Amino acid sequence: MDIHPHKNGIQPGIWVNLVIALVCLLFITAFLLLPLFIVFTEAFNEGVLVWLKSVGDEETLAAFKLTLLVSAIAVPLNTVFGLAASWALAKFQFWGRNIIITLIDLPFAVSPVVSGLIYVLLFGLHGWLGPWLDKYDIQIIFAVPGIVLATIFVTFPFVARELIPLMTEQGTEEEQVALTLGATGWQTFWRVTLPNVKWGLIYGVILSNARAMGEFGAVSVVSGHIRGITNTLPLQAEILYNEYYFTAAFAVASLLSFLAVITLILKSLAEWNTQRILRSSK
Amino acid sequence: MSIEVHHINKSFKNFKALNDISTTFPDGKLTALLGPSGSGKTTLLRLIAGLDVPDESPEGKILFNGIDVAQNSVGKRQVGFVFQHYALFRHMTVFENIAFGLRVKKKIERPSETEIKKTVHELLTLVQLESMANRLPAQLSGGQRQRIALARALAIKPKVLLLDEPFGALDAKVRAELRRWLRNLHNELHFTSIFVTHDQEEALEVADRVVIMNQGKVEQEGSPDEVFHHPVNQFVMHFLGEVNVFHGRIDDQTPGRVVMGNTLQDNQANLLIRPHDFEVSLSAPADKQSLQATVSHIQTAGPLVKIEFLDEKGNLILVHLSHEDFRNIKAAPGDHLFLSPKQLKVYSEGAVWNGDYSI
Repeated sequence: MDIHPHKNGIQPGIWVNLVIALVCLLFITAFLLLPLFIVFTEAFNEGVLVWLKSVGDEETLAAFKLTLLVSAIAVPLNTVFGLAASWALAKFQFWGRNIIITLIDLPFAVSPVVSGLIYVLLFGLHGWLGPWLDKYDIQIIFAVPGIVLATIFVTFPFVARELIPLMTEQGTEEEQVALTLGATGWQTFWRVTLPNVKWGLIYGVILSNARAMGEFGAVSVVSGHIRGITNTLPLQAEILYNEYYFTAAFAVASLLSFLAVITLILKSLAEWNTQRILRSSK
Repeated sequence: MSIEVHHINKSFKNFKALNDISTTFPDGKLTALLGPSGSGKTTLLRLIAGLDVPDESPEGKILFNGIDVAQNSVGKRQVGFVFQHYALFRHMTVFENIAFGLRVKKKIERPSETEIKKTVHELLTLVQLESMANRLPAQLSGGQRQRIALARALAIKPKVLLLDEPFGALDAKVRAELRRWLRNLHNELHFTSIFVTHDQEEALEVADRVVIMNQGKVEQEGSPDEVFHHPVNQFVMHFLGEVNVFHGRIDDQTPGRVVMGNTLQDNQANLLIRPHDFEVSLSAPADKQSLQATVSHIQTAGPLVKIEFLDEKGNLILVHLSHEDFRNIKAAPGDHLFLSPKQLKVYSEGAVWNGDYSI
């Protein structure tokens, strides 16, 4: 380690450092900390009791439960998919590999509203599969299944994106050694491949979960906004706001922000661990 | 256990990595697969381990003790495979790394926890790293990692040990130390081992037998002494050490005689002389043939004095002399001296040519 950083030729002067640091802090305060601060002050504006009452509202509680349910379905499914996809894409070479890697990014590239519309066009009453679904009395759009599907689509890339570079960098030699030592394919996966990407996987799951709980656009299109039934927390916050229940809206927003802060803390922990492991494996 | 390879081919897309390879790795011997990069040596090693599959052909066979193992998967072949970059399981301690092969055994074959502990500690003693059991691979030096990789491979009591450039990633000193250690270990345990290397010095020093490969073919196989002193072709002679090449042609008047120089005609031949096979004198020796050359550079640091000469046409000639011989001639850059070969090999069209020569 260089103990004389100021003697380093590429170090800028103290004023340059100060200006850059100030600009960064200003931006962070204005665009990140201030909004977060406002959300919580507005939410607790009229005291903790009012906040509790807003949060304890029947419709809000239903929205909270729905949000948790949707995440609980979408995140595990995407975790399994992400693991399988990144394993196949990172450890094997085959024709069409790059096309699939590009396709996995599709949900990032498409506007969430369009993602929602795709499902309406597919499963809606006038959509491709609508008449058939209607015949068997299966409702997907404007119901929980539609919200789950839209959420899965939107959070699809997170785990795979996190794992593909990690697995590619780790290569396949450890797996080959495991095979020569007599391990079966499953043993190799559970004992070698999975533990090696553990922290990256956790990081991907956390990001995926944050997005699943916070998704607005795609869910809004397929939800139908039926109060107490198909409203998730973000939708509930918007409805309350539009109806001038500001304190209640901010109370819901504070709930979401609270989930986000927890997610961020977990994310930093996972990130810190991944870095540590990457460093130590060099 | 002896290993035989019969008529093995392996292609990757348009590239033929192995071209009709047949060779034998005798029981209990340490064999080196030696060749430049791209010669197919690692491919051959991976085929023996079962990590890759040879091209489909009726004559192509890999036999372990006379039994065809084509149908056996990697795990069933019971080979210990050591990778160049160790490939230790990074999230496991040294102990767990070595125990891995025992823990993944089927329940009926799996040793008890006490037996596993005992085996791992025996292996740690064998590789002289007893105190490292609880370390993670990242906390070990390169040489230590390679020894752990070896201990891990030995834990499953392999019938054969395959090592892919085992010392390639280590610095020169650790490398020399580790190969001597491997040699001793082999003398102690006597399993059949094959190791891949591109370092001719390493192969000649460690192995009982050397198989020299080039462009997917076996060029020569034999004991280190055989291949070094009787290289069957120009490639082998070149690959096994520094050599000076002189162009010549087979004399039309006296068949069986090669004349140096005059390379424009048919019947070309090359005269190859190792740097240490020259005698250097201040005047032209009367009793033997010699060529005149000018000293251009002298390096005295080392066990031998290395002198670079330039002949009349400006071609470089490398000569190695003992310090004693060097003191006798007292050469300095710019001196004109006479070089006479003590020993040389003549190759025509790449193969050995036995006959007379003149310079």
